[in-house]
Amino acid sequence: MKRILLALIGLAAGAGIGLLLGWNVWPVEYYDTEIPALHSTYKAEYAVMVGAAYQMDGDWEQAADRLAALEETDIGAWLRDLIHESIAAGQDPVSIRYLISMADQLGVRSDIMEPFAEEDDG
Amino acid sequence: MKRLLRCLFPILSGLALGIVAGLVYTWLIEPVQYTNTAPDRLRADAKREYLLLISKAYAASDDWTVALERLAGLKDPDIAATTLELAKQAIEQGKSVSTIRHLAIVASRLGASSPVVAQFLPGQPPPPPAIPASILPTVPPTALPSPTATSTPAPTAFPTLSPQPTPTPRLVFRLSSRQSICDTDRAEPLLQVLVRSSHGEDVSGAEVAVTWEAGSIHLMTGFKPELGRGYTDMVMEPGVSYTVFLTAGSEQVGGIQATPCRSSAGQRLLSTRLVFKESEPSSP
Repeated sequence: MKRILLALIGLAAGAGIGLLLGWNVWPVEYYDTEIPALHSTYKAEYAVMVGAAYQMDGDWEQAADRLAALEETDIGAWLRDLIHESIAAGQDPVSIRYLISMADQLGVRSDIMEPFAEEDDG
Repeated sequence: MKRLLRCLFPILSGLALGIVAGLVYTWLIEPVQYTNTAPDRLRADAKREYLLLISKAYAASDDWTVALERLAGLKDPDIAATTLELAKQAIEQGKSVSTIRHLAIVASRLGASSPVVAQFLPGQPPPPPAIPASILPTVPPTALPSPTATSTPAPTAFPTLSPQPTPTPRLVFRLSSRQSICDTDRAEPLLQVLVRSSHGEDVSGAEVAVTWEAGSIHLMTGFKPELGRGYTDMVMEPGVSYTVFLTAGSEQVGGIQATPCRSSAGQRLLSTRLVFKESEPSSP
């Protein structure tokens, strides 16, 4: 009985150590991740670059494909939120206009975007 | 001692089993989910796409500091070579001239270049036109004698190729207007080129060749989107005669000079604005 108890104590302690090792010390490392796994900062960066590329080549179909690679459930809403955050954070207006040019294609506009969009339109 | 061992054995056995079970659970059943990764963890093809976007964004913004920060995010120990390789792949895959050029520019700024890729850098002579695979011979036109008896015998029969007529360059774009402007706002004379489709829409990424006696330059439309996606320009030197054409195929517009003119703001040099329009497709 005592042996079983000791074995159970050992098992519990071992499981705890195993979880600690597997989740914190040697976690599974992913080297081949996809765009959707990027940190939100890099996702925002990616979207700005897609917007810049769209500005350069005017190829909306390709820009839309690249945005789709983010696998956001509602890309329009995601882009709108990103634009709002970028404006609030005082980001580079040129980058914001890149994003707005894509939001326009998606039919997304808001009052906050207007001053930047007007510059773009003018 | 024996008693101690009797106590330790079940504890150590349990411990070992527990560790194994814990690792199995954390590595296989419920591994750490990475949802906040950096670009350096991306799959190879996603990394290539990311790098391509960096080059395009640099072309759009001309901000090298930002481009360098983005490139650093890929944590590639030889990012220059990787970019150059991507440019070569883009050439092989027949990607657009602008895509190749954007990659070539970034590779060049990183200090990597190759003769093939360098052709796409601004200011270089135009790259040789791609030869459609359909007119390339699939076998050598003449058989060479085998140098040794052990070498692979050359094919004995070859299909003959009918002589191909020299193709007449197709005029994809035609000059639709040429305007001389005595600009009051700007002291430097500009050579402005606007490229439009047959529907009148701006064409971005069109390659404009400008030649003069002492040199040549290749411009790309779309680098100044605020002035139109089909727009590009360059400052002209007084006393130099320029000739302009589109590498996609157009007539050559020559005799463009920045001659003196008088505007309300005083003495100026004449700017020239050329508008090329895509020819309507004609039936064969």
